Amino acid sequence: MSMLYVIEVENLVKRYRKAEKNAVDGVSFRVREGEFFAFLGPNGAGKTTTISILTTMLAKSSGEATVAGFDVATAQAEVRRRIGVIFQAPSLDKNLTAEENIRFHASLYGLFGFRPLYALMPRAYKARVQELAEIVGIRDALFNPISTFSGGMKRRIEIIRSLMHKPRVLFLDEPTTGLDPLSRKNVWEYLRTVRREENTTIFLTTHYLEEAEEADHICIMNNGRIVSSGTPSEIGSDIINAYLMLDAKSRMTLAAELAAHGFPFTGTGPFRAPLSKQHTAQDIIRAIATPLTLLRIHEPTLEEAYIEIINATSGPQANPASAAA
Amino acid sequence: MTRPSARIISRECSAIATIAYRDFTKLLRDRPRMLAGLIFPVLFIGVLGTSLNAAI
Repeated sequence: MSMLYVIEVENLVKRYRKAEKNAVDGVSFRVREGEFFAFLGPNGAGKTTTISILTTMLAKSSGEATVAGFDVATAQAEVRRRIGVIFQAPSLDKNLTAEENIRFHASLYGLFGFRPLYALMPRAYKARVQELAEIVGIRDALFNPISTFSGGMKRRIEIIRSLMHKPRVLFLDEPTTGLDPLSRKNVWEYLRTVRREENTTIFLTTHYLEEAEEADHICIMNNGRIVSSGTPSEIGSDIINAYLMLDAKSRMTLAAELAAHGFPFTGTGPFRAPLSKQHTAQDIIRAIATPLTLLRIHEPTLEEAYIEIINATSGPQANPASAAA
Repeated sequence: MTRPSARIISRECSAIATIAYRDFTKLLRDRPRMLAGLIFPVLFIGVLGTSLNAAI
């Protein structure tokens, strides 16, 4: 059992019945203990299938997958005891209070014996609920019905529920879909706090690339395969170079000047001059005498790299619009 | 050897009690469902009972 890697996946394959191709096609990756791992890809890439296999909700066709050292196919109960899952769609009982949702979940997980009232629950339970409610800032609303909660508040309750048993890995399947920007920001603040205080490994799938910018490691999946992996900056800089954006009132003079100094550039204005060790921003600025109206260094973003990777790996039917979704 | 099995039985009983209590609580708080649960059997007995009574 490797303690360094909390998730180990080797050549994982999943083919659904009557499907012509594999939904997950020989995927391999490893996630370190305490890491923030982001799993990206367009719709239908195989992300949810992979997460379903890792959370023991779906059987694999072949390959190896272990979570916290336990095989997801043969030690399902052990795996489930060590993971928390937050699904894309809220899975709370609307007619129950927030605390009841948490209590029933904890009882079903076997953490505490069933008690019909909060007052009858053990001190350890009460302390844990209050501690997590404090972290996610929902202590005052703990005994209110879920039907009165906003989408963001429901997510916070799901966070508490998924962390009750102190899981080693928290799987988040598009956790902020449908939330407004402020709620999304708040959910991530809580998740950051939880991660810092509990050292929980976070396994995230999302379509919001800015959420993945903070990840320690990213895997990009397309057509059932991993097409790129690394840190956000590695993925960005491997695909797209930084460039200097320049413009001037007299674009012809600027273009002639760039060409005369041997600086490569693209565009008809504003111009994009790729930056490299040979052509640094300082070199270009020092050499240009034309009065500039625009001067900006453009660093490659994860979103640009993602779109580039998905387009390059989607084949001739690639659709930039769907890739950017 | 009996301890682990006793623990498993206890856990299973706790899970059964949790699910039963959860469903009962949900029913009590869902008035339309509770009303429907009370009215429909009476309605069916009335309608079916009348037609059955007439057929006999």
